[in-house]
Formats: sequence, C-alpha cells, structure tokens
Amino acid sequence: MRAVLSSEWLKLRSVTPTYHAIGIAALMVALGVVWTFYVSGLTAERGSVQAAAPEQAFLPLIQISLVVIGVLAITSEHTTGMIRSGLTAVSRRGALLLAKAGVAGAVTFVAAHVVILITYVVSWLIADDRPLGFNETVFSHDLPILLASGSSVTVLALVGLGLGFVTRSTAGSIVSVVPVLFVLPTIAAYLPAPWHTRVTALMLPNLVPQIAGQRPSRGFGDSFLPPWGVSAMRQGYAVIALAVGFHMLRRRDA
Amino acid sequence: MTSFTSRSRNLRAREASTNVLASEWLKVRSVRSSHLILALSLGTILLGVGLAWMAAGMYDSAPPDQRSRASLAELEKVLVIVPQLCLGVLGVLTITSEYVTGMIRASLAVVPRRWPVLTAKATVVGALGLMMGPTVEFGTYFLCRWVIDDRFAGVYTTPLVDRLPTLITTGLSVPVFALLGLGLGVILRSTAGAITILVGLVYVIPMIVGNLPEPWSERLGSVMIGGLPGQITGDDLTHSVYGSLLPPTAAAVVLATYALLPIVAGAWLLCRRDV
Repeated sequence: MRAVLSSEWLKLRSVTPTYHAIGIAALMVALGVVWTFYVSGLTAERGSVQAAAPEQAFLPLIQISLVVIGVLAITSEHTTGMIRSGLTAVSRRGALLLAKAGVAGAVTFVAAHVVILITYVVSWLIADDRPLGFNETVFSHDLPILLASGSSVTVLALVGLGLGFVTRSTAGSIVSVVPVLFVLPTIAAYLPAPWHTRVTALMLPNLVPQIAGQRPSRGFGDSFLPPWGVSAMRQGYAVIALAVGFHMLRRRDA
Repeated sequence: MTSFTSRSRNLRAREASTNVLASEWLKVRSVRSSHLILALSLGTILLGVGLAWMAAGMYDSAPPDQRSRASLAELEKVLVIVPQLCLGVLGVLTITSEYVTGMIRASLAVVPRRWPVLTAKATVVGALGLMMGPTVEFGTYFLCRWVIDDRFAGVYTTPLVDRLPTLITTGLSVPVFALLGLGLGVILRSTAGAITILVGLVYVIPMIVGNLPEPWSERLGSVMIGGLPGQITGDDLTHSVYGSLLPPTAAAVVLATYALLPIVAGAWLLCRRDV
C-alpha cells in the first residue's frame, strides 16, 4: 500500500495542473489583501463596515480550483492511457482508488487549510483594530468555520475524484461537480417554503456554515440538521461518490 | 479570363469553406459527448416541469393564508443555467478534445489557415446554441405555464407578449456561452482549465462580486454575464446578485463581447502558436 501511495503521490506532484490549481487557489491570499485594504479604506469615511471575511467571500475560488486536482487524479489517466499501466501495476482496484483518494484528499486538505489560514491571518493583521465586521471575533470563535471551509474543499475534491471514476472524462466530472457546488443550491433556493430551507440545508456548500452552528445560507431559516447530521451529510457526499466510483471501477474494463 | 479565374477561385474558396464547415459538423455530431450534452440541455425542460408540478402540488395542499403569500420564480429564467453550462462545455470540447486526441494536428494539416477552422467551429457550436437556447426556454416556459396555470398569484398568467423579450434574450444567451466556451478552449487548450475558468466566470466571480462593498458590487455586478439578459430587457434585478447600471444597448454589447473577445484572442493565439 505504501508503494501505491508513493506512486500516486509521484503522479500528482510531477504534473503541472496540480501546481496551476494550487496557484489559482493561492490567489485568495492576494485577493484577501486587496479586499481588506479596500474595506479598511471604507472605514475612514463610514466609521465602521460590515464586510464578509475574505476567506469566506473567496471560498468558491479555492473549492473550484482544488476540485480539479481530485478530478484530474483519475481522468488524466484515462486521457493519456496511463490507467492501463496503472491497473496492470496495481491490480487491486480498491487499493488504487484508496491511494488516489488519500493523496488527493491530503494534498487538497493541506493546500486549502494553508491558503485559508494565511488569508485569515494576513487580513486580520491588515485590519488591525478597525471595525470591519469580520475581525471583531476571536480566533477560537472563527476556528470551527475555518476548519469547516478547509475540509469542505477536500470533500469536494473527493466527490470530484469519485465522479472522475464514474465518468472517466475530465469535462464530464467537472461539469458534474458544478451542479453540486453551484447549480443545485441555486435551484433549491427557488423551491417554495418550507422546502427551500430544508433542501438548502442539505446542499454541500451550505453545510460549511452549519458546522459552525450558523444558518445554512443568508435569508433562510434555522437548520433542522443536528450537528452530527451535518458532518455525516458532508462525509456522505464524498463516501457515496467514491463508493459509486469504486463500483464502476471494479466492474468495468480499463 | 481574369474574371473567370477569380470567379472559379471564389467558387473554390466557397466550396472549401463549406467543406470545412461540413467536417466540423461531422466532428461534433459523431461523438457521444455532444449527444449527451444536448440531451442534458433538453432535459432542463423535464426538470422545469418536475419543479413546476411539485410546486403546484404543494400550493394546492397549502392552507389559504399560506397560498396568498406563496411566490414562485420564473422557472425558465432560473434553469437557463443548465443549457448555458452545457453548451459552454460543448464549445470547450469542440477544440480541447482535438488537443487531447491529437486530432488538431490532422485538422490543421488539412486546413492550414487557422481562421476558417475556427469560424467553422464557431458556426457549428453557435448554431447549436441558437437552436438549443430558445427551444429550452420556450419549452420550459410553455409547459410550466400549463402546469402552474393561475397558481402563485398568477406568475404564469402574464400575456406571452410581455414575456417574449425576456424569453428571447435569455434563450440567446445560450449561444453566447457556446462561443465563450470555444474561445476559452482555444486559448487554454485544456478541457479542465477551460471548463474551470468558464465556471469561474459564471458562478465564482459573481459570488465574489456580490460580497464586495458598494458601489463596486453594483458596478461589477452589472457586467457579470448572468445579469446581462435581464439588463437588455430592462427587468427588475434588485433581488438578484447582479447590478443593473447598464442601458440595454450597452448590456447587449457586453454580452456580445463575452462571446467574441475570447474567440478573437484565441484566433490570434492559434495563428501564432504551433499545434
């Protein structure tokens, strides 16, 4: 298993898309700096501002860019034909899938948390003691939502990986992740009450604030999910996508 | 004599461009992903009817006081994101799949001049978008109108003439996405990269812009692609994430820029780069 893991790690670290994806995710730090300076400038004329925290405002940027790492971990092998040598070398397909999930999961987990924490700290330092809305809480209060945001990226990357095993196509998997992240939550918001609140609470991006004990989304009622339900739901997305992916991988020829 | 040669040259050029167009159409129609994408776009109509049917059922079973307060969005306007995204991906794949398979080398060996190839690709995906967008919009609209009837305070009882401008512009935003996808594909030559940027332009950047403090949220929100059809027809955008600062003509120009600018930039790169 160690050899499988190290081969997956080698595959991931030796291609440029991995670095492009992490590079785009890291843009969040720069955007956070610009954002905080801009919002700080507004306090001079308005006294105080209620601005969103940069690591929350720019979260979709990290999510969509790092999802690509999960997706490409498998679909690029189908594109190049590498999957055939991959499965010849590691004929236990479960091991291959687990190794890919482990490596893609770990890389996105570390990358997302590092980017989010740097953005948080930098914006906090720039904001100093100006009343900007997002910097008026202490770190221990913000920690749960920071961790929830970071790990949501990993969950999405694993969903992307699972869908990659199912569709075997880069375009297909990215397009299938997009509804999970953007389209379904939008459509759910248009459902008649009280269903919009119920369905919205189950949407993957809306699980992030719920983990920190907040409402699923602005303009909606309180969540009906208990805290354990929220984390089970979130893990469920990744587990189901990977399970379906595993089923397809095992049954199909490469 | 001169006029004869020039006429025959014209004829040959026209034949050649017809052949290029035919070959691009063959490439699009002979792969499974195009069929899947177009089927998915048409599936939006079913999704719309399903949502309308569900909403109508809930409306009927709700007590009268809840009924009077119940509201429903115009489903064809909400669901247009599905065909937009689908056709955008089709646009991306028409060029990036050639880079994946290496087909691009054969394509450009047969037609060495870059412009005809790109024009033919743009014509094919643009025409598909032009057919698919209005079909999905009007299909969803008429079926939802039929299902919803006079429920939800008559959201679907406004005369068709009043809704026509919105339906047409929203439908026409679909070919814009197809061309935008194609342009991004030519520039980036990578499926993952182009689709991610497309999604970024459509979903991620508007979300970020919506979080900006005023006046920038309104200013930048006005040039976001999703808000442009509404600004062209002068809809009320106060409750959306988009701004509404542009007059209709300016909004139409910005929408056309989304379609054309990436293609022109891509064409320039395609002419300069080796395959």
